[in-house]
Amino acid sequence: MAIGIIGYSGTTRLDGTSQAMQRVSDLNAVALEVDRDVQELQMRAAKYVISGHDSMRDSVLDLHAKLVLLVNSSITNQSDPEMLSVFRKISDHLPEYRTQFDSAIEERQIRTSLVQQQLPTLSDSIGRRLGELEQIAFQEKQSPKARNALLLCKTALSRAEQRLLRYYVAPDSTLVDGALEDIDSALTHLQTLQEYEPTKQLCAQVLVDIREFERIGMRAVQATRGYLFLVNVVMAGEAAEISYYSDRLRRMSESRRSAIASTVQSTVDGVRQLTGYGIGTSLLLAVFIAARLVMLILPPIQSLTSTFQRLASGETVVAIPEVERNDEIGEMARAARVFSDQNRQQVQLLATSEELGRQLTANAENLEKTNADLNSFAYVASHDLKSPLRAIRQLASWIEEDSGHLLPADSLKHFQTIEARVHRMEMLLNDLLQYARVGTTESEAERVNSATLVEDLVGLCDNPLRVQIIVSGSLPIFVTIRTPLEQVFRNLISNAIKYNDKGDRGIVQISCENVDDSFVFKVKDNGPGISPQHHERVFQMYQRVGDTNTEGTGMGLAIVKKQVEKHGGRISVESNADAGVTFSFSWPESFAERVAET
Amino acid sequence: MQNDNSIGANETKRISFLPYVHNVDSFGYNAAVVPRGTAYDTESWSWLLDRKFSGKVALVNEPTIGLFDAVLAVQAAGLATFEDIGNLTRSEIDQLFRILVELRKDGHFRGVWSSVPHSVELMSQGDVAIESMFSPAVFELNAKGIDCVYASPKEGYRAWHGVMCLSSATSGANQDAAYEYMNWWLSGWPGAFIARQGYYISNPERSRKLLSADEWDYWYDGKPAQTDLKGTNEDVVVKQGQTRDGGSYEKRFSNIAVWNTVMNTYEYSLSGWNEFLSTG
Repeated sequence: MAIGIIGYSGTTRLDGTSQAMQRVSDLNAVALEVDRDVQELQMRAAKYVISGHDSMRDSVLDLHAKLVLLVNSSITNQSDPEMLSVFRKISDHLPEYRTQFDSAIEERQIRTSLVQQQLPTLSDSIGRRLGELEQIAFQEKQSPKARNALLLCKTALSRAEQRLLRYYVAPDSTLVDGALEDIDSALTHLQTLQEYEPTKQLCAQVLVDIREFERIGMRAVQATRGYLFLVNVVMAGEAAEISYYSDRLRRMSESRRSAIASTVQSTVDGVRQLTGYGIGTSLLLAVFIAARLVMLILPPIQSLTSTFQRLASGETVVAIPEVERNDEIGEMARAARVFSDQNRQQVQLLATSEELGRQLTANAENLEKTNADLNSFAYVASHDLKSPLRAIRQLASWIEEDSGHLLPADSLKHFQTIEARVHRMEMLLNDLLQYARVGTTESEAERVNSATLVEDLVGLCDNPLRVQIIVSGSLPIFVTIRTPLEQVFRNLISNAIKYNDKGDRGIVQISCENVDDSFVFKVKDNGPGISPQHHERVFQMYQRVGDTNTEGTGMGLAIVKKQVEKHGGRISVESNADAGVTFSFSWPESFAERVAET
Repeated sequence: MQNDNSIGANETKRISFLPYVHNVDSFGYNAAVVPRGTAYDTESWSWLLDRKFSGKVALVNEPTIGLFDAVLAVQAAGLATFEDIGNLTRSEIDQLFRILVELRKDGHFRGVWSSVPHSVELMSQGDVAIESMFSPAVFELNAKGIDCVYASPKEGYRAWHGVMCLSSATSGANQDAAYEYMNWWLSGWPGAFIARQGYYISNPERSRKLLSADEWDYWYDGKPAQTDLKGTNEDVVVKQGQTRDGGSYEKRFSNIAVWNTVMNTYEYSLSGWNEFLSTG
């Protein structure tokens, strides 16, 4: 806008100077016209005084009138004081020029009248009178002297006339001087004739005529000199002054033109400079605004970007910058606040989760510690209690052996009960000890042939009813820790035999299949089965289902489950009442790899 | 006038003209522009053609006067020599105007002046620095505070002597009036009046009693002014202590280069003058 104003201002100024330039140009044209007209005026005036033609005179007067009109018009239209002064100078000279020309006209007309009318008339008159004198002299037979004087007079007069006429054609003072001498000579000769009475009177008349001829001739000379002086000196002087002032006008207009051109140049330079300043200022302003915008926008955006990055990384930002702004940045900031709030909630949830996790870990650790303590206690208790139990059983045995015959039957029975209970107590303690030992006994992994392992166990199992043990398919050979696998199989197979109610028709079927990275072993029997409602309970400690008369502590499956799970496997039971039981447990294909992964 | 109508030294009762006002003229220059010279020594008619003052030079617009100034200047400047500067031949006129026209073409001349007031105006306005000048203009300029010097050219003055003529055809009351007029001019007062313009009268003793001793001493004897002297319009035209340029009457009239005349080539010179003036 500023540049626009500068441009408008510059254009306005240029328009003004253009008008001024036009005025100066007009003025220069007027000055040139004045100068040209004055020169033309002088030329016409010179032609007029040479020719004496009225048409030439009128052309001078017309041109002069035109010049007066032009100058007066210029004075009326001129506002510049200096120019006005010069025009007035010209105006002052024009009337003088006209006055002098009028005088020249007058002199020229006088001379015309004298030379063309009066002088010839007088010359004719003189000629006639001299002719008469000549005739009288011839008739009177005057002396040769008189006739010679007459001849000399006529000759002198004729010469004078010729000189004067030549002068009027080509003015030269010597001609005038010569003419005057001739006239004087003529008069002298005429005076000679006056001595003779017959011609005396006529000579007197001729003398007067010659004097008049001289007067008219010299007046014509004077008139000629007069208008020549007027035209060549006075009017030329006036014209020269007018030309000088018209030239001065031209120089002034040129000066004005130069000044205007300088002003135009100055204006252009000024506009250029101002435009440059404007552009520079605009650029600076633009840079400033840009910088300001950058300062206003970039830092907030950078701050917001940083905030978003922090928010994206899950950080919670309490103080979201630029929230109070009412622009897009403010909207972005408020959006960031939403993210921040979500992050805060997430953090809180995570904190809660972590707290719960820590609590869980602590509980697990406590539980593990409790379990460890319990295992330790169970181990210690089962181990340490075995000795007193063994002592009790030993003492009871000794008493029975030593004093059995002395004791009544009831007491003996009681002793037998004690032995039975102690035995059971030992079994409980053994199982408890085994359970507690699960996972505590570290053994080296070895290459185990599970088929051989099962076969050996079957050979060792107490199988009074001859329950049939069948291995379906092949059992794998793989690297594992033998003892835990052996205990799992032992407990499952012994349970299957022990609780089988089919006598010698009882069947225990052992099979294996490879599932993923594990072997899934199955021990299936055709015993009484276990009701599904007891499936969970059968793996709990000291829980017994089925025939409770069968010897057992209720720890066998608990030990199995603990061993299987301790070594990375799973155990499940499938059974319906009266449909037999199938225990399936998985066992890592490669114990070493399993240990490493764990 | 001699009895044979010629002019001669023998005393007769016949006169052709009645002498009265006369002077020796030269050029004036503004000492503020043109460095002041020394009378009869360095001041020269050639200064009129000095290129240093180009555009600031004017001549009187009267060929019978200005032509002499031009001739004296051209000759002093060494641009041409003339056989008789009081009566130039046509070829000399041609030669003179060739020089003048060329100078005018070069813009040497501001122009010509046609009256004493005009000459005063030209110098007082600064249009010219040096110009043909008549005595009254010099003192009028001095009264205006312009240090105009009436040069005393080493080549000599252009002298002139004004005369009064009475036509033989005059008679009766006109003749009486004409004689009264001529007698008035020589009565003393006009002579004293024109003395205060720097002119001289042909019968100065009759005017002397109408001039103060200081005035006489300054105007005629060329002595330093004892007091401020007034001109014809009551303005002080001479400051106390000033000496008239060129000195006394005798001194000035002892340095004449030429007497003004109307040459035989007068008419011929007019066209040359016209050409000179018309040259732009």
